[in-house]
Amino acid sequence: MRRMPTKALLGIAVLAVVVVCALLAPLIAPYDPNDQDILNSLAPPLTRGAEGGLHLLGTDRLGQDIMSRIIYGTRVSLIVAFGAAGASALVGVPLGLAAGFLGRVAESAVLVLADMILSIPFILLALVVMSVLGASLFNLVIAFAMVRWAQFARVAYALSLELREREYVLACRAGGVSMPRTLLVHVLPNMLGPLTVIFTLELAFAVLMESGLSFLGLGAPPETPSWGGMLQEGRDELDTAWWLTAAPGLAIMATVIAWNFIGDWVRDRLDPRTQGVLR
Amino acid sequence: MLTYLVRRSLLVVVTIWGVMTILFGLQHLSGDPTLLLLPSDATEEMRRTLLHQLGLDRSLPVQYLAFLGHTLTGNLGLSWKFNQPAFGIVASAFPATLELTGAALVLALAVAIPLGILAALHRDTWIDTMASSIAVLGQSMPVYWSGLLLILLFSTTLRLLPSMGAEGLAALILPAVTLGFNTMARIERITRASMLEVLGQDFIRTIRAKGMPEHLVLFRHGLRNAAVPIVSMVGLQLGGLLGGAVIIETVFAWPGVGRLAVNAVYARDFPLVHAACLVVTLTFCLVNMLVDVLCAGLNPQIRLE
Repeated sequence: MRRMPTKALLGIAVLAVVVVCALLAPLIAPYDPNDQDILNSLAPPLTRGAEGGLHLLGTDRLGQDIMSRIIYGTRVSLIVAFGAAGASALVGVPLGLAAGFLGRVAESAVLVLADMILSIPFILLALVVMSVLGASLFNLVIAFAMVRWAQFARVAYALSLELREREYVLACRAGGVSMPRTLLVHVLPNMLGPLTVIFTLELAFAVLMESGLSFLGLGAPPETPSWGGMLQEGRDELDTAWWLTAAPGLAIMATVIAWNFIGDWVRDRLDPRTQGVLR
Repeated sequence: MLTYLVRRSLLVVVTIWGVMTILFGLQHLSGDPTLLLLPSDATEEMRRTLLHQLGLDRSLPVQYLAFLGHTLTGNLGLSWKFNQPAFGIVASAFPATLELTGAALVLALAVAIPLGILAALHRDTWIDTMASSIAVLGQSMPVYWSGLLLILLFSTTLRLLPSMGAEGLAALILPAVTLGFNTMARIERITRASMLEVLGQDFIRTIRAKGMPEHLVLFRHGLRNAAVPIVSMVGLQLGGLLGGAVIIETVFAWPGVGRLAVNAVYARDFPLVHAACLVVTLTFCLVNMLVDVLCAGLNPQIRLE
């Protein structure tokens, strides 16, 4: 077995930290993320708080500890990323398969619909959807699924174009295996590799876009600590308190880099023939 | 070629119809706009009058058909907030967005293509490592964050460049650099990959062996053959640029379509939201069509059908 490349190891290490933070947030975080300490408003990093505790990364306008909010922010980031990518895949992959296997009408319908959805910038459509549904984590997942299914559908379709000509699939169909069984048992497992790559890259996309929407005030609800929401607060205090902006941005960037590195690694390990499809 | 253009144009029309239908659906999911537009003590009488004025008291199919008709004529009604034609407001903000995305794209290309070629020529050296590190940063830094960092450095600390507005060339620099960074990263990666593939081919070895000067090898034969994936990537990136502009314009208070759209969404000003989405989607579709034609021009092996 080949040694794992440094980049992939780095990505996995960063994500391990993120996952541990999300799972054990109450144990790791030095403060309650919503504990306000107005007397210690906008304290710079390494300031001591009222009870003598250290604010490693400083505090925000309400005197909330930034370190703790970053740690709790991993929850929003992970939940929305997996929820969004998972829901998009659940909608998109069956539609892509349908486009590939159920004849020309299904093919045109799915492809035209996917093209349509992907020709509005994601953030614009998601903003409109979020303003209609209201800011909440569940609605964020819905908004992603409504748009990003198209990405999965396209890839699943491109893969089924190739798979549907393979002997074993033709044999199934000639032998009278039902269509749902053919797709589930014989086609889908052979797509899982490339779909995993798309899924991982979609996680990176979701982390970026979720914080973007939260930054614009239409993502995570205001009382939930989220990295994008923290950047939005930081923007108002940019002249006086740079630490509000620095930490959450670094957290977003590290997470996105980690997902991208893992995605690249999975892609490199895959059959090179699929690379044209994935690009 | 002509049939191709006709078919692509038809597809654009279908896309616009679909997008407008989705937006129409979302508007009607969002509930009664009069609750937002009228003061809370408004009478039922006033509410009805307003619904009638907005044409929202008709049956849904009638409203939908009227809406599609208005889309065709470019008359999307008056903005609920500004009480002016929504399309006109968007049209007057459009040049600012075009200026911003255009500047970002030019900057991105000016850095990405030389960097990509250098990285391909010096594969696996420190130049390549540096170029790919920059690309990783560009792909992973959220635009709203890199924007804030640049403001912090160049406006707040060094006081060199303005952080908001659109007065003069100086105000364009920060938003364009921020917006172009991500695009630059993606174009750099594809330039490197595409150049590596072309430079490894037999005809390059042949012309080098024949003693052709290296700059001709690189530019006349290398880059020319590597151009198609790069141009396609630029087309794909346009969606990212337009989406990025939505956020960047908000960060830098740039008076373009993106900021207008965000504010319209906040205010639930649906005619304005519709007009902004229509203009952005149409731009995206038309530029992509142009890119495909350009690719066919660059590589005679591509047949448009």
